Amino acid sequence: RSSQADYHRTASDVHGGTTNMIDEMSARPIATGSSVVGMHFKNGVVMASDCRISYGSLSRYRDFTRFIKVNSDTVCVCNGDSADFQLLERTILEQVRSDEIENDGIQYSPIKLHNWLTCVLYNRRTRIDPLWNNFLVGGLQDGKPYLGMSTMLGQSWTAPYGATGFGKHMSIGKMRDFIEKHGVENITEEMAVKIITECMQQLYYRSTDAANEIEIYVVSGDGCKSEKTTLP
Amino acid sequence: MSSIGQGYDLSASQFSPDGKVFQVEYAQKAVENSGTILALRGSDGVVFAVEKFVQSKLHRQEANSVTRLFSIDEHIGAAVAGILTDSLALVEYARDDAAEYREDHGIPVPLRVLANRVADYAHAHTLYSAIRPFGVNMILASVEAGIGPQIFMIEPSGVVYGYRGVAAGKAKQTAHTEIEKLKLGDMTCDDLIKEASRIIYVCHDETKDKPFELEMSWVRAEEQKHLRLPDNKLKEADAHGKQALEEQDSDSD
Repeated sequence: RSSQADYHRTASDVHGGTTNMIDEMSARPIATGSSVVGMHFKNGVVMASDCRISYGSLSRYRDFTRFIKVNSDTVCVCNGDSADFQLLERTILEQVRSDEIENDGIQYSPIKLHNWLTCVLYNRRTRIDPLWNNFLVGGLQDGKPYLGMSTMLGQSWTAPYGATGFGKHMSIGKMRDFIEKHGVENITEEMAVKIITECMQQLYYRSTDAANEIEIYVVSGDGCKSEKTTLP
Repeated sequence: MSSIGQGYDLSASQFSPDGKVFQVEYAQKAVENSGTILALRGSDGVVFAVEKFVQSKLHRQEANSVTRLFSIDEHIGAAVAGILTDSLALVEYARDDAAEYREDHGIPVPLRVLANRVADYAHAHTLYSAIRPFGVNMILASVEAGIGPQIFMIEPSGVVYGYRGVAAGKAKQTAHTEIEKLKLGDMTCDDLIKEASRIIYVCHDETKDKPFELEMSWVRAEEQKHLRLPDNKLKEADAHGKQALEEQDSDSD
């Protein structure tokens, strides 16, 4: 098999036979977003991503938001393929809308979204046709901070801190040390935003696909607010 | 009963010798037995009001699980009269259709498109012997940019018309008479919620009907969304309706 086969896997390569269902399955992400980071603070969660979409080594889009605001208590953000992200964004918003029009007071919450997302991502990976995204789902669950990770392989976990891509290598340690030193209940929004901004700064310095226009989402008792800023 | 079916009323796929499809007529009768619903189009939106019969004193009002007002999509509201379970099925269809339109076209479904599609669906149920027509009148309303507030009503026969104000159910005739007296075009939703409540209270037959609960909602240009009336507004409208009823009773004494 030539190396071309890695980028052009067909169903017959995978199954060793033919299938009527799909001719070609996703083997690599095309237009991608870089790392995202997030952590708990005493009243909620702070999450950040940058606003760039890369097309290989080309910086393709400079002003792309990778956050999905589901409701005032729930936000998710991802890295990876932007087309897959947009598909999930449409699907999630459609779900939220059809829930809301039932008008029964039942709304999406972080744990529900996290679980649903994990099911979808795992199902796609099992078909060897993944949605090439790693998600961070954050918000307030029953008034307490919630941060969940769902990877493109369908792995999922919750933790007081989370990151994808390069952030896994560079930012997790920083956030974990900070949380273990102070304890979540002593971390204010300002402290958390500062740490998250420092993480994004490090990522901008060291990761080739990160940018300095970043977006920070804070979900707390006051609802969900976002801020776009440019790192120095 | 004015006309007896005489064997031509057993299926919707048959005409009678005088050109009626009796199953459709019977479906319309089912609507006439239900609580009154109405919709009024004002200058800045549409107001819905429903005479929801309280079937049992043991029902918990706050549970609000039985309702005759539905959101079809964020921007479209529906009120239904007739067989409740039939109307739930029709609402489900309308919701699926509106969501599909949004997914395919990227924009919220325009009201007249949805109304026509739901009407076609209702009409399809009048063509075959294997299924029966929907015993439902569905009033759809929305406010659209460039068009303004709109009301459409779909009947069991599959016919759909646009209205400035419309009622369906038990007291439809009395309600229509009251609606015709109003200068709807000059009234805002805040005015109309009082009128709608008054008409429901006045049309309610104390002697013959079960006690009822007033349900109201609106779609306004301001929010462009179908929303239940906020609690304070509903109380205000309810109080106005009760007062109008007392005045009417004391007038006739």
